[in-house]
Amino acid sequence: MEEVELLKKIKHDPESFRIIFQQFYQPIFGYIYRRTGHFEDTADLAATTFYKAFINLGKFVPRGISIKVWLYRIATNETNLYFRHNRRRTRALAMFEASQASEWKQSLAGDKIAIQAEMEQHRRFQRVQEGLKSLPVRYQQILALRYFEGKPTKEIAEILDKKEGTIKSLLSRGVEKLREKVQLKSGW
Amino acid sequence: MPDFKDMLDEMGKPELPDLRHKELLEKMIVRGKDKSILNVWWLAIGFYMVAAWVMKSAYVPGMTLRHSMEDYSGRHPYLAVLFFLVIPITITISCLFTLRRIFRDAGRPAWKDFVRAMAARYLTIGAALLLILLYLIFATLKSIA
Repeated sequence: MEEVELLKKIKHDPESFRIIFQQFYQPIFGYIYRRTGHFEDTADLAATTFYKAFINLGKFVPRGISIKVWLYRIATNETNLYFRHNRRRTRALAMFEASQASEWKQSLAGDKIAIQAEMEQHRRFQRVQEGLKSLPVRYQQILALRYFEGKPTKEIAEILDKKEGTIKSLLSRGVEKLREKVQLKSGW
Repeated sequence: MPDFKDMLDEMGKPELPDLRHKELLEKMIVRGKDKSILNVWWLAIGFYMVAAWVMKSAYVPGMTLRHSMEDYSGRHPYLAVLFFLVIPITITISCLFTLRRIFRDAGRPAWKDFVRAMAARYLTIGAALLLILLYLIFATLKSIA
């Protein structure tokens, strides 16, 4: 289904938002988790991202950007805010009704175990992630999108709404800063 | 420096398993539900009573909705106040606070989008106000009589 058609459908039937959720929740959750490294905070930030997208979808006009880019933009802004405000959680999840409390807790706990087990197998990634988190947010977002998510410069520029030249320059400086941090911390 | 860049490119990244909580969260977001100490089903008690009185007035000769309400509020004054005033007012206030918080959390979206997304919550407020209105109408009629 074309994005324009999908947007029209969602505007008439909000339940169709499920299509977007099913398609993008996993990659967005992964992006936030690879940036924060904290399961609960990631779950909270991912929920906030999709919650904001759901409510603000009517305002979304696809002027050259796709829904995917727009979602990454919201997720990036939320994660940046999280880092800027000393990792204070949004508590979006607390807002939702725990009508299926035990099922919800069980599924969340199961996901946490599985993700942490996966993370344990990537020690080198963890060291880079720790170094990344100590950098200013403007470098964090670009480096994470480029090296954790494998996004090309053009897409990063779209997500961050910056020029490609700016991205390249920040990327180059960011890599250098990250290298210093990683080597300093772990004697790479 | 090029080595470090290559290393970043080639570094293994954690991949996520299929997330089990995804389906539940999807339902919660799409339905716009939020945590509340009050269950909106409390409103159903008031509506159930009104529905019973309407049926009574339709099938029992000489009975009207007004008589039923007056009879009930005469016999159970505190319960009438609880079901038709206290609970609806509390739920209305709780919903309004929640909507205010969600509106801010969602980055102050356009009103049209917000109302559509939060339709269930607005309907709850409407239902609560209807119960309050019913009670006030009958209380006013009673005081006039």
